[in-house]
Amino acid sequence: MTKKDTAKKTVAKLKKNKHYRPAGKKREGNAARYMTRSQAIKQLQVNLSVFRKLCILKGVFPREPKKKVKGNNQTYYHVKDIAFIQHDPLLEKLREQRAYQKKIHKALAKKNEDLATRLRTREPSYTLDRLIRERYPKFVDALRDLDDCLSMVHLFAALPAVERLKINVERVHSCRRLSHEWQAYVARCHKLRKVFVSVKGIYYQAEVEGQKITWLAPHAMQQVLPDDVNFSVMLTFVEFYETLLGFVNFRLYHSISVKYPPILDPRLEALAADLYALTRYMNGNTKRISEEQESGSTKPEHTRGQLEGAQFEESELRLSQLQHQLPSNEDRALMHLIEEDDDNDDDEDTKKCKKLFKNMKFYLSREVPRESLLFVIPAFGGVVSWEGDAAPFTEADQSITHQIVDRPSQGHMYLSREYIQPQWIYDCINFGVILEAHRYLVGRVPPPHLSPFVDNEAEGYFPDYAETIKRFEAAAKNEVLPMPGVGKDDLDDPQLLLAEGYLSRTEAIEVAERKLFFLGVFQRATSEKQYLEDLKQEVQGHPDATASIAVEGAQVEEESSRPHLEQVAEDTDGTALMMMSRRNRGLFKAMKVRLNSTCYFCYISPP
Amino acid sequence: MGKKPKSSRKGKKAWRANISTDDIDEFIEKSTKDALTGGSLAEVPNESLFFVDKSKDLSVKRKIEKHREKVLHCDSVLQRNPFVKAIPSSNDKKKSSMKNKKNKKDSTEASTSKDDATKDGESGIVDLWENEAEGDIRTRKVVKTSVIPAVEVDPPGCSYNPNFEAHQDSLAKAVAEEMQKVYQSELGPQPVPLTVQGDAIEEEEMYFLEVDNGDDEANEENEDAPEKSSSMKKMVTKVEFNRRARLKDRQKKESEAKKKAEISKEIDSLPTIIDEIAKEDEEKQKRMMRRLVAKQERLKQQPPRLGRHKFVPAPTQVLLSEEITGSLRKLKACCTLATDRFKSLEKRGLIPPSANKRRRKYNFAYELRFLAGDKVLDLYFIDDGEAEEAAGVLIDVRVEDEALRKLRLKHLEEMRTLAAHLRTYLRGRPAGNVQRSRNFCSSPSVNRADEAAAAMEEEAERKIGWLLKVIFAGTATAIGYQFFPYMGDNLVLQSISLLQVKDPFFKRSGASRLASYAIDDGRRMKIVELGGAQELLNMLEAAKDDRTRKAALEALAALTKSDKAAGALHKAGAIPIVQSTPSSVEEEAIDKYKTGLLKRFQDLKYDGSS
Repeated sequence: MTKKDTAKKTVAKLKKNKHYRPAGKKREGNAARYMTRSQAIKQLQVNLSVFRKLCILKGVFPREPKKKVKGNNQTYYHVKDIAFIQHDPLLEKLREQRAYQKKIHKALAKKNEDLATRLRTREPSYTLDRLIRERYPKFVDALRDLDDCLSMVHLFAALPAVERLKINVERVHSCRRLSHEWQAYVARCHKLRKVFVSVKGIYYQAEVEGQKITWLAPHAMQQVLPDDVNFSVMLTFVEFYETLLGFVNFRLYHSISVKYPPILDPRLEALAADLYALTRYMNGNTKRISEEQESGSTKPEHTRGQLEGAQFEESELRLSQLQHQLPSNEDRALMHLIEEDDDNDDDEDTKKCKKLFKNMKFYLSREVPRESLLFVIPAFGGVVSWEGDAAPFTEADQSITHQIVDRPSQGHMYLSREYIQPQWIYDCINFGVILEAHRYLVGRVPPPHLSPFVDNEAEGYFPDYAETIKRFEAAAKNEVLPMPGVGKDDLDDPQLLLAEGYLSRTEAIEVAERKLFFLGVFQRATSEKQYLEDLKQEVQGHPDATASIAVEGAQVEEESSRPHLEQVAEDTDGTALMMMSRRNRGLFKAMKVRLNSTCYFCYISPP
Repeated sequence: MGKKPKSSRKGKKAWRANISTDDIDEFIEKSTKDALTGGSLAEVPNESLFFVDKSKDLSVKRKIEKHREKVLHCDSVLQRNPFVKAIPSSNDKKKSSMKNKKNKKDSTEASTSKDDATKDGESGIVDLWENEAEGDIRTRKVVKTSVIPAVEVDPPGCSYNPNFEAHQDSLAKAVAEEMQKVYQSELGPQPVPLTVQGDAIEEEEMYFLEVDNGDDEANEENEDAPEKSSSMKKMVTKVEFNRRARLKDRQKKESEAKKKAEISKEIDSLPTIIDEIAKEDEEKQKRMMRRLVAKQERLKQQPPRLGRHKFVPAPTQVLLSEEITGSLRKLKACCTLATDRFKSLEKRGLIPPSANKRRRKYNFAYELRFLAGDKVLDLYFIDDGEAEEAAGVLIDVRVEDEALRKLRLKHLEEMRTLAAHLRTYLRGRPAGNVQRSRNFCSSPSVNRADEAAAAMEEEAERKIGWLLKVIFAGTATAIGYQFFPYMGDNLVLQSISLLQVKDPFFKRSGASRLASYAIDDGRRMKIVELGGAQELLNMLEAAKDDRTRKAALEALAALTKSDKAAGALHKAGAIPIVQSTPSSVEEEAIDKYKTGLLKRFQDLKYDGSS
């Protein structure tokens, strides 16, 4: 073939090929928009591991182009993504690190130990703050993306430190610290909503600033490091997530006015009671801050103010240290996280969660999962202690209402407390009520642990146990009607009352007793009307009280008991009903039903 | 000056004379010195004393300067003429000015960030989102890579103490996953064997082989060639030629006419054609929609193909029926959460899926020894096959349950292999071999090996039963296959072992597999020989629900089609068991099978009474 021929052919090709473009000129379509991983590496002039790291830190992930120009076996990245990496200062920093490592290697190779150690002290490092701000411009964005972060941090907190895989001890410890800080915040603010114990681990769901955050924590057991997991990738993710969680915790802690990097009691820390130490810290810290505010505005005549009033001039650090030096048994109330005064800005769920385990005192035996329960119980307003050093109270404490055990039989039993299995706690939380304890007693096989993440109505299938509980709830709904004297707004919202209704069962009984007492005291009151008014004033704070006050048959004895009250009510309600308006009569009936009914599932705490 | 006379030291004069003036002298001296040199150095700030040497490496600098200061020839020519203003050939200045600006900006940013960092004391942590409303930082639209949530909550059946129905669902799912793997390896193409039986072909012969082939082709061609040439050479007469021409003409005319007719016909049917096209378009549109929806559905389950390897989901973590204790303390929990998180990253498309690594081969004996700790310190490694080692260790080590539990948690995969090894080993060998394997482990119990042999055999069987129970959540596995002579046997064995499992689900699946396997007399007999008939009868007897009974009866019916097998069944006492099977309202098939079976027995003259 002659030269002429080939020239002709190329010309023909030029004419025929519409998209002919000389080599090295710009392209279009998928070929121009995507590049393979090896091309990207070449462009960035880094090695594969650094490229992977950069991708993870910058949040650049592979894409699937419509047309895979270089074949199906390649990983593709968007050209703009790669350009985005290329413009990041981090790239330069990582290159610098690599160059620096070479220096160290060189020094070591020349047996120059001094130089190597000196070089090691000044290794270039980088921070990820800017990247986090860049990837999560708003705090809400960070919260939305927290699921993976929390799961990963919780996982690494449970992993063994293995040098071969470069999982070092500091990393594990910092993950542990961060996870505890997060749990302490969630528990302190009662943000936890659901818990599901599965084979894989324990799923938690919290609701922080309107965002539902789900995470998976491993069971308290030895985790293995499987071969098919690339731990360098995992470690890069963890590195990023650690920083993220640090900033998130900082923000959350400051939102409840607690100083962020918490200073913990070294004794508790040494005993691995980090979470308890944290809750104590938080509690102490908020108290102190609120006190300081008080002292600024009013007189510092608080009991605790006196304790610390003299020390206001000293540095805050000193203060907190002082506070932590208090023996743990002395300030038992610290574990009790409920404060009545600061609940004005909470939503309904939080209020409900706060009250679930109110007035209950738990004690954990050594065989139950301590970490999980220490987190969960305070999150729902309970007080908890455990078997071991540094525990706030011991097993012999008479005020303990529930002891959580997980063994076939319990030797010595206190009559004043219930011995229940840990599943009771989780189920109570998920159903939002205090379940009857007899199904969960020691040695029994507890009812199935149902997943709270399943929407039964959407699925169209109700497990038996869910049905049982729902039936109880429905029964309660019919019986419990809103109380008079609460106000119209509250009357319109029976749901709200219902939520409190379960829990204030004990209160209701107490109030009824108090009423009787009043009746006794004012027995000799001259005028019945006068007497009624007085009563109303007395029990203004207790809305439950009014209905049975209508029972003004003044012949009530002082030693009257609960059934007696009802008897009296029955005797007199004929006349009382006559005097009431129609609406009030209905309310009265509802009240009566409520008092008479025995709430099967509601837990009646021992007086 | 002469020497002063020594005076009394006690007088006032003497006192005055003895005052030391050293410090004053020193000061004066110093001040004069300072005045002369230009000031004390101690008071001068560091900046004025020291400076950073910014004069860099001269040679390098010179090189750069040289490059920068080079003036292009055209520019130099233009410069000579004062009336012409040169247009700069590149925008060097612009670039440099921009660079300066940037540098300045950087420095200011750095200083501000430093201030921020110092604000919160020692921690170095600041509130990143303090002024998020301002939106000053350059942000980027985040591309949501996947619709799959970061933490997928397990189905309710995976609870540690699940509800029965939910648990059955999850279990069925897990079994289906495992079975799929098994079937895939069973039905998939056979791997190319590494070695082929037969003698190696010598090189010389190979040449011959090739030559032969070539010869054949050549011969064929040679044979064809003369025929063709002869036909080509045949002369065509004028008459014939004309005839052909006429024929051609006629055909052409006819075809033209036909074409015309067709076209006119098509024109007539234009509306229908338009309709068809519209329909086709609609169909296409629908197909596209379907594809789109299907793709989106797929993306909810797995990531797009991001690399060389396909994403393989992790197996479902669910407890077996006998593992549910209701106690958190006794929970056999998953301890490979790292795998779960890693798979989640892959599933969401954050990293391209990695190869499903073929794990390096484990030495089970070593693994067991490691697990058993001090109790088997004196185990030696032998070449006589891993199975023997493992079996020996298992039997020898008294802590095997513990070890197995740990093993199971650690490497489920290995457990399966181990099971396969043990099964082959213990089935294929008499008790003496077990003993031999014990002898390999020079443990203290060697002396009483003889008398313990039988007991050990029994123990081993029991253990195998335990093992099978644990493992047969749809395993029994492809890995075991290589140890069996041929496939069918293995399938039968596997199905029979499925029948032994407690869970009715496995029993059913085992029975149905047997039923589908028994298609000729040989196979049926094989099932009977391997003890399948007895197991089926046991299953039928022990079954508690209709579905299990139905499955068992179906398998039995499949077996009785062979006369011999029916005889064996009869011997095993099938008739009373079948007769005693309660008939069900829901499952009509049970009655059908039952009557069919009994009829078959009657045909073969087996009495119900005998």
